[in-house]
Amino acid sequence: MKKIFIAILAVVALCSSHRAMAWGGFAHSAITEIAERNLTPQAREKIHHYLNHSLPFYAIWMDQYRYTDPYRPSGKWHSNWMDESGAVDMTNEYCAAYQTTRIWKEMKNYKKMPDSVVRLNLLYLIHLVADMHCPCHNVWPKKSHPQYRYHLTNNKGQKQSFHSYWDNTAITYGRKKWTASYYADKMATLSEKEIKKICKGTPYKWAVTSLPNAERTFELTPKGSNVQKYSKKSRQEMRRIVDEEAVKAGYRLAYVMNQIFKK
Amino acid sequence: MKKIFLAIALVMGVYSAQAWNWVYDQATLLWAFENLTPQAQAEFKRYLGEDVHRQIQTFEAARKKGQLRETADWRTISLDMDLKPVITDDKNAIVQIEKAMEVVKNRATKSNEEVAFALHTIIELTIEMHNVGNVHLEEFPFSKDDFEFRQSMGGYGKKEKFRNRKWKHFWSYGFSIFHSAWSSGMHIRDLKVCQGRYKEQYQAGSLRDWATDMGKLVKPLYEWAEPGCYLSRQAHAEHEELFLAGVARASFRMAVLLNEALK
Repeated sequence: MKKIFIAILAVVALCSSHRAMAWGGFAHSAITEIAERNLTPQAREKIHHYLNHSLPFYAIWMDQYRYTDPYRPSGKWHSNWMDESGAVDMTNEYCAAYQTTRIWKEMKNYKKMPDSVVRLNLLYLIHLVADMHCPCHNVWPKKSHPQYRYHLTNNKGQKQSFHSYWDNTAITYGRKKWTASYYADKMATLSEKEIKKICKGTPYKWAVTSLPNAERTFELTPKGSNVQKYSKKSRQEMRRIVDEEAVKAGYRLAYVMNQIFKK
Repeated sequence: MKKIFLAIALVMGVYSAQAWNWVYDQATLLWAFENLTPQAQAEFKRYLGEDVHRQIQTFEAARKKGQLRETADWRTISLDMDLKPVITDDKNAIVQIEKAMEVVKNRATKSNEEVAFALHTIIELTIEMHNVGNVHLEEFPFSKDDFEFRQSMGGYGKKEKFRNRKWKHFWSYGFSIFHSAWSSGMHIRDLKVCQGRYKEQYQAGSLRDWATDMGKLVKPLYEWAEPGCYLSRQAHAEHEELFLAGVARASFRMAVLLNEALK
């Protein structure tokens, strides 16, 4: 009888999941929401023209299409790749910072491009600027640096990948009812001066300044650690890291868009 | 044991009977409310209260408690070979909305409960009749069925993933999963960008014309969709635009109905 009731509960839980957040989508929705709010009127008008939608609509477009022709090559652009010395490798065409720089540069001539190319470049930027700020989207050479391909566990011994934890759980933990706009209301409260400071530099420099946070993730969530036993202090630091990076990503995405459509 | 299975069936049934995702329903109503005259807004609040965003899926909530079960039969519209509405009894959205309009127009002679019920009928059934899954075409008998099909979920792993889905469930929830954590405000803003310019076009005509218009909108869909069909990522994206066209139609038309009824 007990098993049957557990089965019923499982069915109810499955049904309820219709309203549950897809965690990976949360951060992308939140970042693009912050960006949308910080577009100049001119940039917003142009983007809405090319996309026929607001930025959050295409927040996870690259994830949805990454293994679908003809977008397969872009499937490897989602992380920042490091060279042997541990520096962001701007010669690696898989590197998110490299691709962001390349597309941003190309888009300076957006007026001479077909609308379809401008649109595709915007779809890439929307996702890449966000992904390059995700603490677990940094790939170091195997020999000399920590690897992100390991698992964490919980009280029941179930596995969760390190990647999934930092993609999803770290930013949504304790925030089940948060919407992306609520997140933007609470987190994107920087002054113009602070925003200017955040947006200074290039995608390369942005990637470099995010590295300390990325490296800290390995210490906060070591291989095999129990996700249900992290201390309050650790959780606070995890939240600081993901919030700091997500907010920077949102403002920087708006900045990239505003610069492109300045003219 | 029989009772347990009935409980499971009830839970499943309750969820499969919902209009659109809760947030889409909310966005539809809130956007419609924006388009009401000040007088209609005041009358709306007089009968339904200040919490506009809560006035959705009220029949749904009642059905969960075993009440208003008859309303489950009111949600659909049927269209003949010429896409004209087929009205054989009062078990359809058109007749029920027309009846509710009369109640609201004659509200001076009705009780507050009767008017509130009629307003909820207008709100819910306007949404329902614009849900693709509730539009039945005589030319395509299977449009009445909740048939299974195979949907590409894009690539979250190393290759494209697929999922078996139910047709009606898909048209209720199939698009919200890619926009997780969106608030109704985010949906409204996006709808304004992609559908706002069609306001006059969508609002033209009568309730029965709108039913025919929905038939025209969904007919091309059934020219390829059938039980067991395959839905690619690209087709999913195209259908999302069709879905949003239904949401915008519902919202603009709800405003017309409420403005007229609450004069």
